[in-house]
This record gives sequence, C-alpha cells and structure tokens, in this order.
Amino acid sequence: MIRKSILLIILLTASQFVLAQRIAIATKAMGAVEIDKKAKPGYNSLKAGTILDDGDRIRTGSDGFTLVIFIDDKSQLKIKGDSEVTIAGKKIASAISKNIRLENGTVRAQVNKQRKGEFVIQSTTSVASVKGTDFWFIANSEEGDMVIGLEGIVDLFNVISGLSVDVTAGNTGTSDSNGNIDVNETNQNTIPEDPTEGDAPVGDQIEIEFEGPNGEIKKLIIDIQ
Amino acid sequence: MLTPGEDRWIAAFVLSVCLATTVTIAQESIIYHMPPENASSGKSVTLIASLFSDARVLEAKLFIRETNSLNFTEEELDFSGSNWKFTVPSNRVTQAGLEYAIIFRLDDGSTIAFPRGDPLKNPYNLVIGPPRQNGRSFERRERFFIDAVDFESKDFLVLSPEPGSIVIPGDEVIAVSFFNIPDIDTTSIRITLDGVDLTPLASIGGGIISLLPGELNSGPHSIIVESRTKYNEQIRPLTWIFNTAAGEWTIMDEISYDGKLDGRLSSQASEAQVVNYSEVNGKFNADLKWAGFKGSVRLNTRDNPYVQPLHRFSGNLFFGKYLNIYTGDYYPSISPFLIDGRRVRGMGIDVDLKWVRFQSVSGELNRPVQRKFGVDGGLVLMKNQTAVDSATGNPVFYLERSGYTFTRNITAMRLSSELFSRFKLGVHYLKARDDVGSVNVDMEKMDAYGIFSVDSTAYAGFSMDLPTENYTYDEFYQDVQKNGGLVNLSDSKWSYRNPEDNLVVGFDLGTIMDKRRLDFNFTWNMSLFNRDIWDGPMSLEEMDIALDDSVDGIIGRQYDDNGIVIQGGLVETADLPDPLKLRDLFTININMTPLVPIDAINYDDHPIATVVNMPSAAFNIKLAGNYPLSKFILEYRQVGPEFVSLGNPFLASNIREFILLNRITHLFDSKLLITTGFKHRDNKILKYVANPTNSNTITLNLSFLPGAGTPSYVFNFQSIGKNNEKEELDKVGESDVDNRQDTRTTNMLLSINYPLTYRSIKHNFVLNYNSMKNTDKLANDRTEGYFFPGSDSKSVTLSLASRFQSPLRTMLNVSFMDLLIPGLDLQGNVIKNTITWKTLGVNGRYALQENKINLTGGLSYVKNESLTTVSSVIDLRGGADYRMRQNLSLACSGQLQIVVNETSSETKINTSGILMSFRYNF
Repeated sequence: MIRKSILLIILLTASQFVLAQRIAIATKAMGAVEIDKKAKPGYNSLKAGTILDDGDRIRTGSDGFTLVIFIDDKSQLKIKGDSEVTIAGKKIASAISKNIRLENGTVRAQVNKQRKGEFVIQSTTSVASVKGTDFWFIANSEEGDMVIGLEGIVDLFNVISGLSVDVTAGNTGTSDSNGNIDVNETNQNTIPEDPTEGDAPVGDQIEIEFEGPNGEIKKLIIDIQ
Repeated sequence: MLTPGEDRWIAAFVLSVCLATTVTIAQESIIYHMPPENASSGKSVTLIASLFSDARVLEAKLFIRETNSLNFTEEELDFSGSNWKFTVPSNRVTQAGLEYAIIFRLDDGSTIAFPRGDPLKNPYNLVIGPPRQNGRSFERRERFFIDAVDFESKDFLVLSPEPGSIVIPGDEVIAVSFFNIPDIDTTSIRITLDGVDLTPLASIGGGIISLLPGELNSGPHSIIVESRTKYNEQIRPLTWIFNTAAGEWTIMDEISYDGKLDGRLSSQASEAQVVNYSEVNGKFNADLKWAGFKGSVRLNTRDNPYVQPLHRFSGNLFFGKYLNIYTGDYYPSISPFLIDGRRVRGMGIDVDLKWVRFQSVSGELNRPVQRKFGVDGGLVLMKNQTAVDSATGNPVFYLERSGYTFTRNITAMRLSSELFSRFKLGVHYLKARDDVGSVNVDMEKMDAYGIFSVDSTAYAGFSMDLPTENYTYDEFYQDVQKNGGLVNLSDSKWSYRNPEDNLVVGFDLGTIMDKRRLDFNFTWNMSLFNRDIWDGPMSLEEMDIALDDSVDGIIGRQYDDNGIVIQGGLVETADLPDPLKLRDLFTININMTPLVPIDAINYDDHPIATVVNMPSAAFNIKLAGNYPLSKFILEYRQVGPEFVSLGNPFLASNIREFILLNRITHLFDSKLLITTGFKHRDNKILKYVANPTNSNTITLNLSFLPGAGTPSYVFNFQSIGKNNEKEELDKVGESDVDNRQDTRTTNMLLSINYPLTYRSIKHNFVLNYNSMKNTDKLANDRTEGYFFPGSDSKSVTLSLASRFQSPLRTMLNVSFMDLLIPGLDLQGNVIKNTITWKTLGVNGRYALQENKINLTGGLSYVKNESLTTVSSVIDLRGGADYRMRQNLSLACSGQLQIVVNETSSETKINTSGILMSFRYNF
C-alpha cells in the first residue's frame, strides 16, 4: 500500500514536469523580475530567454519589466513594475488559449491579429477578452481596473455586475469592485510608458559598413522584405 | 440614466412647461427645471433649465457636489436653443448621489434659483441609481475560452529577435516557434548563427527553440534553422538577419509627447435672438520619463472684460510622483473647509514624499473687473444723496463706482503627514484678501466706465435743465455745470462692494485601522473674516473705544455716570497684539467677524466645548469603513454661523449635520445592492435660535442586478421631513400668520430594465415610474386660506433601445407626466392645477465605412395640456460625424424646434441651431 502511494506520488510529481506545457518565452527582463515556476515552486530571478510553462507566475519590482511572447501566435505581453501575473495557456487544437491572471499591476497586451488564439486577461474584478488588439490593462483591486485601448476592440467584462462594454482604440474602459463599468475617451496622461517602444526598432534596411584597404568606407544596404 | 435622446426629451419637456405657463406668468421671472429621472451611476446626466423672464441673463450657474460633501463646484450653464444646460460627466455621477442648485443672475438685479429659498443650503438631492447594463453588450460571458480553429500558417514563427531589428549587445535571445508544425522531427532541428552550429546550446522542445548565444559583436548576424518532418521530408530552412548595435542615445528617445486640439462653432437662434459661440481647446503633454509637462488652453468667445475670465491657461510641470508645480488656472484642494476645487490663477506647489506632503497655493481667486456691461455698469448716480452746496445753493450730485470686482489674492498652505501608514496629521491655513487698489477711478478715461441713468428724482427740489436719459461721466459733468451744479465722485469707499479679508487656520488628525479598512478623521478650522477693509486696520486705541466706549487701555471696563468702575474689564490693550503690526496677516477692525472669537464667559466652565463650538469654527468627525460586505460612513459636521472661507464661498454655514450611510454590495453573489442613508440637519449651533429648522432625510436604494441578459430592478425611496419647531401662530398686528413648517417630501422611483433578443435584434426595454409628493403634516390644523406651495408629480416612461445586426441603433421613448401645482382660485381656495405632458420620440444612429461615418437623427413630439393652454413641441435633430483619419474627426449637427399652440392656433419655429466641431489628436 505504501509503495503504491509512493509510486502514485512519484507519478503525479513527474506528470507535473511531463505535462508542463511550454506556452511562451520571456525575451526581455529588466530590473527586478522573478518567476515562480509551477513545476518548481518558489520565486527565482527571471532571465531573458526563460521559457514559460502553463501556470507560471511572474512578479516584478517597482523597476521591473519583462516581455513575454507566446509561441503559437507571437502575441506579446509586456509586464510593467509592481505587477503580479499568472500565465496560463491551454493547447486547444493548434492554438493556445491564453488566460492571464493579473492580481495587481500593469500589462500591455499586443495580440497578433493574424492568428486565432483566444487571449483573456483577468483580474479579481474584470475580464478583458480580445482578438487582434493592442491595449493596456491596469489592475487595481482598490480603485478599479482600467483598460486603455490602443488598437482593435477589447471586450471588457465586470465579473461583479455581469456587464460588459467594448473598448475601442482611443478609449479607456473602467471596471470597479462595485460593479461599475464604463468607457470614456482616453486621457493621454494615463497611458503607461512602454519601455520597449522605440527600442529594438524593426528597420526596413540594414546598413553594413566595409572598410577598404585604403581606409575608404563603403556601405552595404540590405532591404528587409 | 440620461441618454442623449432623453436629454432632448427633457429639453422639449422643459420648453413646453414654459409655453404652458406663459399666460399666467408673463411678468414674473420663473425658472423651470425638472430634475432628471432615473439617473444611474456612471452615466452622464444633463441638467436642463428654462428661464422665463423679461430680464436678460447675466450669469447662469450650476452649483454641484456629491451628496453630503461640503463643496460645490461652480459650473457655467450653456445656452442651447431655449434652454440652459449642463452635462455632468459620467465620472461624477456616482451612487453617492448629487446635490445641485441652479442660479440665474439677471440684469434687473434679481436672482432666481432652483430649488427656491436658500439653494446652496438646501440643494436638490438627485438620487443616482446603480449602473445600468450597457446596450452595446447584453451577454453574460459564460466561458472565457472557445475552441480555437487551426492556424492557416504551418511554418516557423520567429519570436526573437525580429528580422531586421537592432539588438543591444547582451540582449540577444533567439527564439523560434515551431508550435504550428506538428509533424516536425525535433531531433532533426539544427540552428546556426553566423554559420556556427549552436544546436547543442539551444533548448528545443515543446514547440519552441530558444538559444542564448551570449554577447555578439556589433554588426549583422544571420540565423538558419534547418529541420525535417517525421517523414524525413526536408522543411524549407528558415533564415533571417538581425543587427547588433550599441545604439545611439538621442534626446528624442527620452522625450515623448502628445496632445489634442478641438474646437466647436455653434449658432443658436431663438425667435429674434441669435447666440453664436465658438471655442477652441488645446492640450499638450510632454514626458521625459522622470519629468513632464502638461499644458492646456481654452479660448472662447464668451470671455469679456466685464466678467471673470472664461479663457483658461494651465500648465503642470511634474517630477515623478514627488513634485508638481502648477501654473495658470488650476484647481487646488487643500481642505474641504478652506479650498477644494475652486479655480485659482497663479502658482501651486505640491511636494509629496509619501510620508510627508507639502502643498502651497498662491494667486488670484478673482481678477479685477472695473465695470459690468450696460447702463449703471460702471458708474451710478446716488439719487437719494444729492446735497446742496452751502456756498451756492446749487445741487451737488454724488456718483459712485459700481459693477467692479477687486482682485482677490489667495495664499494657502498645508503640511500633512502619514506616519507608519497608520497615523495622519496636518495643519493648514488660507489667507484671501481683496486688493483695494485694483479697482480705480481713472479721470483720464472716464468714458471707459460706461453710461448711467439720470432721472428727475436725482434733482427733485431743484430747477434744472437735465433731461432724463443715460449719460457718460463727461456728458453729465458738462450738463450739470451748465446748470451751476457740481459732481462729486469719490475715489474709494464705494458702497457697491466692500473689499474683504479672510484668514482660516485649521488642523486635522486621523488614523487608519484594520488593514486600511477603517479610516477615522477629525478636522477643525477657525476663520477670521473682515467684510469691509476700506479703512484698513484699527489702532489699539480705536479697538479700546470700539469695544467698551472708553479709551482707558482696558478692554471691557465699564464705568458708571460718575466715572467709577463697575466692571473690571477683560484684558489690557497693552497685552494685545497691535492690529497695525498684524496688518499683513489680517485686517483687524470693527468689521471683522468674530470680534471676539471665544466666549470668554463660558470658557471658564466649558473650555473645550467653547472652543469647538465657536461661531467661527467648523469641524467634522468622520469614520469610513470599507469592508467587503459593507461600506459605511458615519459623520458629524458642524459649520458655525460665522465661519467664512473665501476659498470656498459656497460652503453652507450655520449647520449641524449627522450622516449615516451604509452600502451593502455583495449580497447574493453581488446581485443585490442595498444602500441606506440617514441625514439630520439643523441650525441649532448657537444656544438661542428662535425657530431652528430641522430636516431629516431617509434614503433607501434597492438594486437587483442578476446579471447581463436578465432583467434588473431598481427601487429608490427618499423621504425628507422638515420642521421649524414652531407650535404657535405668529401675530402681525391683529392678524394671525401661520409660519409653522412641518412637511414631508417623498420621492419614489421604480425602474425595470428588461433586455431581450428578437429576430437577432437586441432590445433593451426600460420602464420607469417616478412619484414625488409633498405633504403638509399640519394640514388639518391650518387656518382657512393657508397656502401650501408644495407641488406633486407622477411620471411613467417607457423606452426601447434596439441594436440591429446592421450598424443601426435606435431608441424609442414614450412618457406621460402629471404635475400638480397648487394655486388659488378666484374665491381664494387652494386648488391643484394639473399640467400633463405626453411625449413620443425616436432617435437613431447609423454607422458607415467601419464606423468612420456616423449619422444621427431624432424626432420628438411633446404635447402639453394645462387649464389654459394646449400646445405641442416638435423637435427635429440630425447630424453626422466623420473620422477622416485615426486622429482627425469632424462633426456637424443641426436642430429645429417647432411649437404649435393649439389654443391660439399658432405655429412657429421656436429655436434652430447648428453646431460644427473638429478634433485632432497628435
């Protein structure tokens, strides 16, 4: 009996590793960023290149930032400072349904409109469900959540009142713990700063300089298609 | 909830009220305003008032605040068609409720307000219901996930770095997804960087290849991924190039900016009167990451030198969250008892280091205005003060300056601290003083002060050839001289408005308990107010004689006729601060309030109570709880009859209030919300109040919101009881006058919201029933002919909002309303006149070209029936907005209102208007 129990425990534990599903990769990590791997509980420093599995948790310090890219459709999740995020994803057919649990903090989701994976960000108060969208989600359990639409449409849903609104580009949806939900024009001052914006630009051309034997400089320009 | 359609209904409704009563109120100024029905949290509310008056409106203001808060925000009502309106933005419409008052100042010198009486002390309380379901989406989301469909693309997906991107050395993370290639043989994958096979360093599996190559040299780098399928078929290799470079820092990397520019131009015609208005707004934000600047400007055609500025210029320079510097027009908030949202033009500093915060305000509350527009706007002839020149026997005319406003300077500071996230304390002060020298008499430019009226009463008893008409100063001076008279114009101490001085000091204490769920605050403030500082501060000798009629160096010493001391006195003047030395702090003279802040007689027996209850003191004690099941507020506040803050001139004084509010939100899985409230208010601060007024308000709100897609129910009940504790009739001569007040006003609202889908069209059906009843509880005890002015009303409104599968949205409204207004018949009996309104309206919106173009239109019909008049109002509206680019949109709308007076068989266009606007974001 004891041996069977031990065997069962071993199998269950092993299944955690075997079944852990790779869903994303963190390609940037700046400042204080920690990860709590579901398969290996406990927070450790997150480094760029870390592969994320279903159920992994990430938390950032006040200066922290990390960029997470999902492997099925290249959707991006930018996690800003003072945030706590659980990244879950279930493989359904040939896509990953992503469910981001945001306890508190600020994230920007850039969901690839060319792909069809479901993308949901959920706080204690609200659920933002999107397809082909770029938006910020600011979760604040005390003052209410805020969704700032940058592109496309976000369906913002208040779990308390059951109400939902469409948040379009240029508008901000608010959702609080009293069940209130509303959409208003975005106050530009409320849009968080994106540490990667302007960073790592995608150039249409690559310029390579060659120095000849006589010191002359020649430039090779490669057009990126 | 007031949708734009409902706004128009109310507008038409209010207008019809005007028409209905035109016959009976031809000469009287009357404000017509019906509070909006069924306002709901998070939805903007438009307040509309119509004024029926022969006089011209000089100012139309709305004073609005959250229910039970202290401070009104002052807003300008916009004239639109025949109505004055203001839309309260959705973020200010909360379930706490709104209290508001509408005040018109007319050019005949009168003021008319809603509610009547003292509107700022007894504002109308608008009950706000819980948030409504949004018509755009009815469904409760049952599942967050749906089955995904196979991706069309089956190839590799480059995750990082982007092809052609520039990567900072050390940040290289190579990642490729083969999630969408299920038949790939992972053992066949080879990855090379710059021709070097780095497969052993890569992590391959689970649909992803990741590789950390370490820091690469600057320059271009190529990656090749080769692989085969499980069936040993070659997959086309994936190749891409990225660049590694340290990157160059440029200032533009550090700076981000955005802004917007919008404007509107409107023209409204109401019979012969045409009102044109244009406005331009601009906002600009620049951010340097660690600091930033926000600027805004508003220019409009209503600004003129006869009123306070309507242009706005604001700048805010900030350094992180720690330092804010405000300049131009801004709205500081120091304390509810000092200044809380009133506009100041000047400079403000806010240093917030979390545990300690310093705020300062300096600038102008009022700019100098030398005169008002119109006759007697700058100069006025004191007709009853014409004197006789003792030398010549001819008249001496006295002119005074009028219509002026002094520059009102303000400085305020607050130092506060929150220690250990538990204890709060702060001190604050405010000083506001009118600059006497800001209003002047420039004898070189006397024509600039406009014209004033002269009639024969000004020189009654004199034989003068002085026509009754309007004169400029020079014209009048010359005409009077021709008649041998004199004109006297003093250069100060005019009676139109006295310069004032104000000093308020206070402190607050508080504590945060139970994991920040309980918040306790106590604040106490005291004011010194001088209502007339023309003469400046008094000397100690003047103070001595002002307070006890004798200059003996002792305040309060009394003597009998023989000069023998009969009362020893309170304090020697030598022990008092010299008012002349304190002139920069506060102007002390006989016009100050209070003259003596503390009741010295009571102080010995009850020192604390005497200080707390000083007539010039204001304080409140508040305990707020924020628990998952209940959010409550328990508050007591008192504002003494002599407490004045010029930073908050709308603060109601001479009140005591006890407030208890409780909101239960999480019953039945947050589907049932219950809000209850009780407020008692009286004016019994002073020991002796002849007829104290008491009001007790009970509110109850029940909201049952089972969820989206299901019907919701809202019930609001409010009962306001008022009495003045008077039990006996007053005697005026031989007549009995009944001044007793004991009334109850009950306001009840029932609202049902029923969403349904029929033939793929989503509908939202709303039924509202509203009833307001005023009861005189002494009705059975009144004498015959007593007139109780309270009116009753009942209304039923049905609306159907529909959302079609095409981009069409419509709203249909039907409503019925009865207003019962008491009046006297020819025999002097009290009767109730019933005025009935029936309304029907439809509004629609249609989007074209993926919402780039939106067309709107509406038609409403209102029929009004009263005892004397039957009339109808037909309102047509239409418009379009066009989003030319993502950041540029244009809009145009028009409106036409036709009135059919069936009683006089007259049809006419009542109002018409056009509005054009643009918006550009950058």
